[in-house]
Amino acid sequence: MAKEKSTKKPISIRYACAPNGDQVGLSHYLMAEAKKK
Amino acid sequence: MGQVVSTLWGPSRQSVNAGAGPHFDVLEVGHGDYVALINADTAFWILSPRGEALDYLLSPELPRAFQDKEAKLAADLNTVRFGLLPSAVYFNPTERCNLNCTYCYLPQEARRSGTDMEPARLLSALARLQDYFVGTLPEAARPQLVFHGSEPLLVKDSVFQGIEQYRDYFRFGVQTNATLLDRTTLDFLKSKGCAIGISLDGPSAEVANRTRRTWAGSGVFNQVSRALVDLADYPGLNVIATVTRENVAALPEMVELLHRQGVANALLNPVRGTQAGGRALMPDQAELAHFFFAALDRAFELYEKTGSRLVIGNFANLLLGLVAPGARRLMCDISPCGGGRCFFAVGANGEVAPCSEFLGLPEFHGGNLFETPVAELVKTGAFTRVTGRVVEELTPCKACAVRHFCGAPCPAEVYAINGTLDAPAPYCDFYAAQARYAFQVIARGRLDAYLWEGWRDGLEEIVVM
Repeated sequence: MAKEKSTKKPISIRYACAPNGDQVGLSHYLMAEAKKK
Repeated sequence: MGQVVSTLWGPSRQSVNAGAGPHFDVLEVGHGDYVALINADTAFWILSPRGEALDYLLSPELPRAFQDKEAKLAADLNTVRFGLLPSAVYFNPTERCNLNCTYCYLPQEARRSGTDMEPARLLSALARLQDYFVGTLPEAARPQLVFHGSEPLLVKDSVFQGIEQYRDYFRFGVQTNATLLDRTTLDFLKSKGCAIGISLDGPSAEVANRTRRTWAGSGVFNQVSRALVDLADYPGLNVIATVTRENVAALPEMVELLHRQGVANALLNPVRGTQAGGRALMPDQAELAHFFFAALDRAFELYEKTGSRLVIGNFANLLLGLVAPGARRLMCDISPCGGGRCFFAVGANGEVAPCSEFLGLPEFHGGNLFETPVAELVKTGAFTRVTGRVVEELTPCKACAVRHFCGAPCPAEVYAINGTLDAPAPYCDFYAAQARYAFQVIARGRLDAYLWEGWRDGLEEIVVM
């Protein structure tokens, strides 16, 4: 018997920081901008 | 030329993932329709309909699509883990505090009668820090300096002079218990654009005053509430609640209070067990998970009802760990953590440690700001022990599917509790449960409701499937 396909779609979400941009973000409590090496 | 090995084996056009291909863990996320398939090394995941998970794992489609993007996924994660420079300082201008919160990570004797930094000494410290950052960061960079505590506003003269003199270079913040935030102080800090973090541990005096009290034993809820009203519309405001067994059940009401007051950013941080007082107040992990998730549910309901968002920063950061790990804004759930590699802490005597949590552990002091250049301090063994702590070398973290969504924090409390840095997070079960809850949020289509407006700005989408 053929398996019924789910009506649900798979979900995958992934973003990266721009290669030459500064990281957004950082810090223990507040928000700042991290600097790449 | 050496032998070429294909990681997807089988006859042409019928390749299968037969052992040497990408590895995916299967994670039960507690959602009726979905399970998560996770490549832990790159923090890549896909939520698969439950009935199709095996097809994804056994067929070549997912492994191939993943392999096409694997290098990019790995590079982004690698940058946030190993490719950043120190660009923030937590600076304690005094050891003293006018409160005696039972869980503080700083030793009690110092808080009662410790050292203050006089204005000239504080200015000298800021000059040394500026020299260091000018020599290491790109030209236009403006590092962040947060006056922290103990209670920094006990030495307002020093703090204000520092802000006045260095405000064109550092971006300043003040983390305060709010008891000394009089009108003049508020006006000064606002006029200089300082971020202001306020500590508040409960939605009522009855709850908040259990842990945050003066040395004489009286609570300060009413003073903090007044400051919150004064700061309601200030964009640089955030509120930190330290979650203990004393207030954990009140987290949903805490969210209601903060939302009602118009607060846009808050942290609900489980107390660290770095000092004995904190250890004694650590909440049960199952109870913590229950009420923490109830608070997150409440924040979502309030957003749906009013259109106004209260971002719970520590959970938002974990969500970012799933969808944009390189863009995380807090550094506690990354391995290595941010201590000593993205920021460091300076104590009132000039002692320098990877993080404020380590200021009460002298064996993790790299040295003194007034005696040794910062560039040397951050290379000392006290720092590299922390900056070299990675989940790949910890048990059971090395085999855990969510190791890069958790980061096994916090090295200071791990050390204080276990006598070694080589142990998992004391809140391990809670962090794993939080990752599962985050997957539920995504499966329900609620991701944006828990993150900052415009969180995708400046980011590049990696489409794997």
